[in-house]
Amino acid sequence: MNELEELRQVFSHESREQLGELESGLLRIEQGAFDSDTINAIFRAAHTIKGAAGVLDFVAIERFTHILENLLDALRNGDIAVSAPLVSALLAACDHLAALLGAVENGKEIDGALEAAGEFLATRLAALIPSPSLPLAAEPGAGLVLADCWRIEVAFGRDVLRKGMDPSSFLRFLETLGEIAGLECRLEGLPPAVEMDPESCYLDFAVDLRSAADKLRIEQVFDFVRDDCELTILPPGSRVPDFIRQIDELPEESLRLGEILVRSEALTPDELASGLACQSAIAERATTPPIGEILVERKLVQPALVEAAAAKQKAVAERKAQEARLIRVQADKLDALIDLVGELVIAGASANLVAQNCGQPVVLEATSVVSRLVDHIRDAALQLRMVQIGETFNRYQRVVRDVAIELGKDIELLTHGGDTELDKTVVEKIGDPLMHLVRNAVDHGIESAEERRRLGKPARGRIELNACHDAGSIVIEVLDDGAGLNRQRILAKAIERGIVAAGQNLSDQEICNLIFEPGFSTAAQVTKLSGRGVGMDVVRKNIQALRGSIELSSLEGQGSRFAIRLPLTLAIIDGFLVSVADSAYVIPIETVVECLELGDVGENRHFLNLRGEVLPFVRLRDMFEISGSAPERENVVVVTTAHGKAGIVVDQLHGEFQTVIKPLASLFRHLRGIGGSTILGSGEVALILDIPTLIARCAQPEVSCTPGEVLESCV
Amino acid sequence: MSDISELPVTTVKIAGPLSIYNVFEHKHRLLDDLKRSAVLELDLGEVDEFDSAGFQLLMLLKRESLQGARGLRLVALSECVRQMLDFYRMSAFLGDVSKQPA
Repeated sequence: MNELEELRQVFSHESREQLGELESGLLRIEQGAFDSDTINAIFRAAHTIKGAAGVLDFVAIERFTHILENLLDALRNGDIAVSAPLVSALLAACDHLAALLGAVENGKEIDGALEAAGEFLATRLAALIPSPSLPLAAEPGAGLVLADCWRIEVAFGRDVLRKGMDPSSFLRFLETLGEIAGLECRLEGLPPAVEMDPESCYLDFAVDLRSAADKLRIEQVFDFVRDDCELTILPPGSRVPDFIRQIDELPEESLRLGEILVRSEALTPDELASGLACQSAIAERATTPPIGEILVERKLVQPALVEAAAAKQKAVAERKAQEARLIRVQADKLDALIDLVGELVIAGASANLVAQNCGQPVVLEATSVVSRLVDHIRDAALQLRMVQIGETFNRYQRVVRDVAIELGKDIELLTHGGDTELDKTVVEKIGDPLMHLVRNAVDHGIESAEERRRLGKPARGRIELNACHDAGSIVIEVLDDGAGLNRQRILAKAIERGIVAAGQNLSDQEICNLIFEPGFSTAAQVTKLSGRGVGMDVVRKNIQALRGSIELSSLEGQGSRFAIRLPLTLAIIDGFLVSVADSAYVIPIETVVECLELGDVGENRHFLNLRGEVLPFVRLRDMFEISGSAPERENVVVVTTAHGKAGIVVDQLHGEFQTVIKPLASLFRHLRGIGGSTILGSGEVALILDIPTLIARCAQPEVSCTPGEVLESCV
Repeated sequence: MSDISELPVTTVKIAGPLSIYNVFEHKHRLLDDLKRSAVLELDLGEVDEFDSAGFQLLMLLKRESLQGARGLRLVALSECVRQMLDFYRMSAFLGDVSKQPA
């Protein structure tokens, strides 16, 4: 790949990150976070994309982002108000930018349709910017440094209004001590409309006060409300040591010098912006001066603070250099490496077996050392493929918002465990099934706001996405507090489609599980997924293809819960080795409950008594039509599935072991009950049993064909 | 869900106090008015008492308007309302159109 290709990839990767920031910021603003931090963050994101596009000469992107930037600039200056059409237009602009980035990534030219869409959007955006006909009077003292101001942040408690006090009276009193150069009002704690108590106080403020008073005097202003608020007062720029201490206490992030100063509040973003503008202006004529120099020269910040910030920057950089650095690796190189590691694991097992047979202690010791190292390499290699699921979760925020608006519902999406890591392939493949579940929750689960209020539920519906590790698996939950599954409707639909007979007696759980039956996909689903042929049966199939399982529980009127269980990795399986005659089989260890000897059971019996429990069992010998007669003593491996417990009768048990899975050739794709194969140390092949399908098949032996039948038909 | 474009522009006039003493009554009614309208215009020209509770209620309405894709406009402000909104630097955000030429 030549340099230009590489630059293009880096640009697209980083621009997508910035775009993500832009989008999250916009969604936060819509939720009511109208503070300067968020607005500045989205402006910076657009600005960064524009700059990068300019460097690489991506004219279309640069031009479009420029328009976006103008709008965001007007927003942060207060020239335009936040409104629903504005936020929607900005989000549409984000989508368009994503499309433009897509064109860059594919190396394509911007086609006519995309260009037209861009023009249309640009007009729409430009229309939102007010014409500069109203002259904006310059604020008094605009050139003066806010660094000479005290930064007062006060979060008023809930009962302030009820106690007969008013936040504005305290803030106005500050004006007797000096001049309020800036005031920001925040309402982040404002709950959903239904729960909001208009007599409670949810107001927070940030005030910049230019004053000669000392900290005590300022604090005294809030005496009467001291017990009912959280107050922080930061001294102004003239108090350098305080700022230096704050710089020291900043978290360990790599930041530009200017950002460090802004974060320690020795400098405001506006001052930094003006300093940077000055820097670029000078850079055109002479060599670029360092930003610290410019800031000091313009008397925006004290020299001692610049030194402190530079020292902090260096310290963080050094620490970061010692910590993990990121490297870009091609996915197929990684896959090739993992394949090799897999082969190594198998060869290692083989070597172990040989060593055991030869029995010499020196050899045994050498191979055990190698074994241990192979285990470490295997674990390290698999770690490389781990990715956090949080990124996937974040994508759904936008989906939930858009679909909820479309349907006129009020829904919030909460996520937990975003930092849970899974294998990259699993994350990629679980994306679509999860999306389907989330959309279902929005479409069918959560009721409309009026309906919810009528039922006494909070008007805002809630969908939760949780991910966590549990005993060698990943569990992903999709929960909603909506209407739950309507048993009557499901049963009626199932009878209508002939999935169950009319008079059949089904348990509550069995009725719920009917939604997974093929043919149950509701054709009445008018969503953007129609046409893709996605139904709950496909969702379950996709999950099972990942060796996972999906469970559903639901309470009518209260909500539903889907729990997806997935193995941590697709490449390796913790298995339990068993054999029937000369054939070896592997049972995934997470399904195994216990093992016992099979007592005396009649020839055609398929149930046994397990300490008072009725346990259905299947004989592998019969199922796979293995010739020869059973030994005197057979063994039962008790496994557990979503359908309950069952027993698998085999000849011999060989214990636990870990092995690398080799997928079966496509010839054998239709084999029900087999999920892959592996090579044992002895060189023999062992088939890995797909427990859920195997056990389900027991219940309906007539439906699918046995492996014997498949092989016969192949000949 | 009714189509927003079919909803009316509603003007609600509030006279007298809009403060801690009566925000409770106003909240539910104003939220309803907002829901039933494409745009809710508030005429606060004759509000004679206005405090942070009243201000907070306006902020709630504004947020609900953003999330519900409704419009919210303040078409007239009495002196006490204007003073507080100016002090809180929130006139622009709340959609104060009272100064624009008709």
